[in-house]
Amino acid sequence: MTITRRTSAMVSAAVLLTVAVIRAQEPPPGGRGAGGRGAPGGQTPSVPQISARPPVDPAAHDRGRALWASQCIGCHGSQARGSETGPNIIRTKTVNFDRSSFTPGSVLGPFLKAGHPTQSGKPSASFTDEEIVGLAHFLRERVNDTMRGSALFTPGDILVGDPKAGEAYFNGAGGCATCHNATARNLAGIRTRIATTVDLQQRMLFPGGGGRGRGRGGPPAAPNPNAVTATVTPASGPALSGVLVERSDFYVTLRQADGTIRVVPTTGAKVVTTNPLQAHVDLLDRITDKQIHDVVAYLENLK
Amino acid sequence: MRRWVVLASVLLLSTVLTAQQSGLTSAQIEKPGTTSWPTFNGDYSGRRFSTLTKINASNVKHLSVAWLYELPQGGGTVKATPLFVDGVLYFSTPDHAYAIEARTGRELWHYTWTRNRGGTHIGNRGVGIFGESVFFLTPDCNLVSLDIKTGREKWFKEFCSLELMYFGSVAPVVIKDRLMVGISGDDLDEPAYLDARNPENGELIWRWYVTPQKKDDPGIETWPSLDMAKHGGGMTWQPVTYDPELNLIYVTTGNPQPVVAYANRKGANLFTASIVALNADTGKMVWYFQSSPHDTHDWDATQTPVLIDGVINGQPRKLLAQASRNGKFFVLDRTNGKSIVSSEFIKTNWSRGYDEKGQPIPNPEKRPQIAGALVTPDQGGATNWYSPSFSPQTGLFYVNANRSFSVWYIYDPSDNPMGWGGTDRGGYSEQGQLKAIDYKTGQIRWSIPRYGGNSGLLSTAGNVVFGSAASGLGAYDATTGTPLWNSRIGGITNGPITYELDGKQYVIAAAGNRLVAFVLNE
Repeated sequence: MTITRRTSAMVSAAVLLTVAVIRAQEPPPGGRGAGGRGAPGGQTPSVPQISARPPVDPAAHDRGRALWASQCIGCHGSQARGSETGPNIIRTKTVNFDRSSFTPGSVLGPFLKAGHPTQSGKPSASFTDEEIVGLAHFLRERVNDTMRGSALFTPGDILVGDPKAGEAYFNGAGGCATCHNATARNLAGIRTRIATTVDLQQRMLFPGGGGRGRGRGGPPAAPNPNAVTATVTPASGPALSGVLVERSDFYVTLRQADGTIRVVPTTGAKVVTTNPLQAHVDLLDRITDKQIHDVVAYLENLK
Repeated sequence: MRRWVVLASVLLLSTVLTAQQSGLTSAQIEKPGTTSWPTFNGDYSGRRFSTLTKINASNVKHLSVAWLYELPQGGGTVKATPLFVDGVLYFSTPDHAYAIEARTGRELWHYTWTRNRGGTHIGNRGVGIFGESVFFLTPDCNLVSLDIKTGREKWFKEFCSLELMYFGSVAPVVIKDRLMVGISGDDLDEPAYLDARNPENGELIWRWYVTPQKKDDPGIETWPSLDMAKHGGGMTWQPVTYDPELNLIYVTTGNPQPVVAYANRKGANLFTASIVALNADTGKMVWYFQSSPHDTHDWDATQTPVLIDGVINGQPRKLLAQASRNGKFFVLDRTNGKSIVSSEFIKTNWSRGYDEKGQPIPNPEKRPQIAGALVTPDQGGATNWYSPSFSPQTGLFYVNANRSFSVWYIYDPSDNPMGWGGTDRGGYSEQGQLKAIDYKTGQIRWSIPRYGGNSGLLSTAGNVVFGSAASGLGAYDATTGTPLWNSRIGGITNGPITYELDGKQYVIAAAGNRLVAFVLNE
């Protein structure tokens, strides 16, 4: 039998301060879960690899941007995503086959040499090779912009809440002040200790990083006050307690206070786990998005 | 002279017939015995149920390792479901295919796709087999045919464009004399499709596009423009299931593009995040059911569409069930797509009931926001690629489920986002669960903690469900969920299979770079 018990008394001052092992903040580059682009480890590809994010030469890009502004922007827009008078070209074969080629401009060049309308009326066939290479780099960057992990792939303005309402929730319905107050686990100045407002928001909601992967790997350098603990009471014999390292169908693995690992059979035993951060977990099914944003606005400037 | 011509023609014809009938036939795939696992899900139903009973709930605790095959150095992770044909196991990893002798685990051949030009190497779900050929997809968009005996390359055919950031990962499924080939990729906004291809040469027979490609195509009214529909994504990540009697292929489709930011794709975005029935001969759509209308959370609906011949209100029915990534469980009449059950297999917070078709109604407040929206499930979903299982013996649909929270952000607030335009961050996951769902009602019959990772499931007439356990494979009582057996071979990374060989029942599972075979101690 497993019981998850809320033990607020154990909530540590470090709830919002400890660098928690938070499950992947961002999807890994190139796709879902493990893996990624390129050949499997330990193998050298026998043919040149097409990069998911081909390199962009900044100088060539800037030259291309200048040409884009004078010849292309009116129809295809500042980001090459189209306008009322011209199509989005981010997803086209011409742009992406050029982007994937090992010679920038090798696909775009013949396309433009064949003739394409321009803003100024200058024949596209008259574009120099250098201009075409510049356009190719400019367009590579525009496609790169749309990729996960690009410089533009960052949060916007998180501070949209009402700090007064956040304060009221913190001290009232949210129950936050029960654990975080002037005498215990004080959050004054919390924002100065966290890099960004979005990190503050994430930390407030997910201070512990959740149940997956807990306790894996070797013992921590310092005791983690937020670690999930377990007490196993066998059918006969004394109860055993410690940090929960692993649970399985038949065993609980504990790290005892002296640092030793103990594996305890669970058949016929009573297992009670305690998550010091349970109050935060319980909040997830209760708190509204407005309340989240309000509390963040309150904590942002909490002195 | 004429007699010789006739005789030559007869000989030629018989040679052709012999050639067509040698090796694995479509009839053998359609009705596999217990001595083979000839297609991704074992059979066309997608239920991953075996009638074998030699290993059962009473003796499963005596299972032991028969052999263990390790990939060559740097070989990656086995995410494929192996196929088992004539005493040999066949499976794939990105750029690689293997044949392993099934009694000993001895490698018979190993093929490497040396022309690899790149592409996403996230995983490969497995091979298809027809006749004397093994087929698999490469990350750089090639369908490759190999000689089943030697692994020698017969031919290869490009079926998508690496330059447009597609890739290959799906196990081809042989239906009649054709290969059904799905497609992967969701970085660039490009359209998805399912191909029927000729197993002799890879030539395209028909292609069904998931989203409208012409102004009069069905579903165009659910997109703001043809341009957005033509780039609307909906990747066909999951091998299809098939009902030979109805001649219908069931394909499940991925999320729309752009993935998270949605300002430029108002509407339901058909036929993304849907279960779609196609005529197997023509590839024409017969019906659809959208599991996630206007998805904004990367919840593709590409979980296996499991075919159940069941009974509803005393009437025998041809059903289709899906435990969807968005946390919903659907049972449909697979002759027409009409809803029978729409329920949740985990508690979610993103929808407001169901429409008249039984499809969820998304809560617009739980779409991604610039300042963030707290949503459950997270991007990984309530379930995902890992195969569920259905036991006709217990009437239970088994699924490895997760309840997880994350915050969804819009990163590109423009009116014309591309690609993803946002993502989720965080969060918190409850203890994973192995759940058994009553297909007739959607009620959870039992739910037990799943201490292992996300693996596929297998159920058997021995009243056992096999799936992931802590750092290994576990066996569970199919009726009650009681844990019966664990083996710590490492976290399971594929869907287990079972078959009979030399009178013994084997269970095969992959754990990282290992393929492990279990038999009963005798």
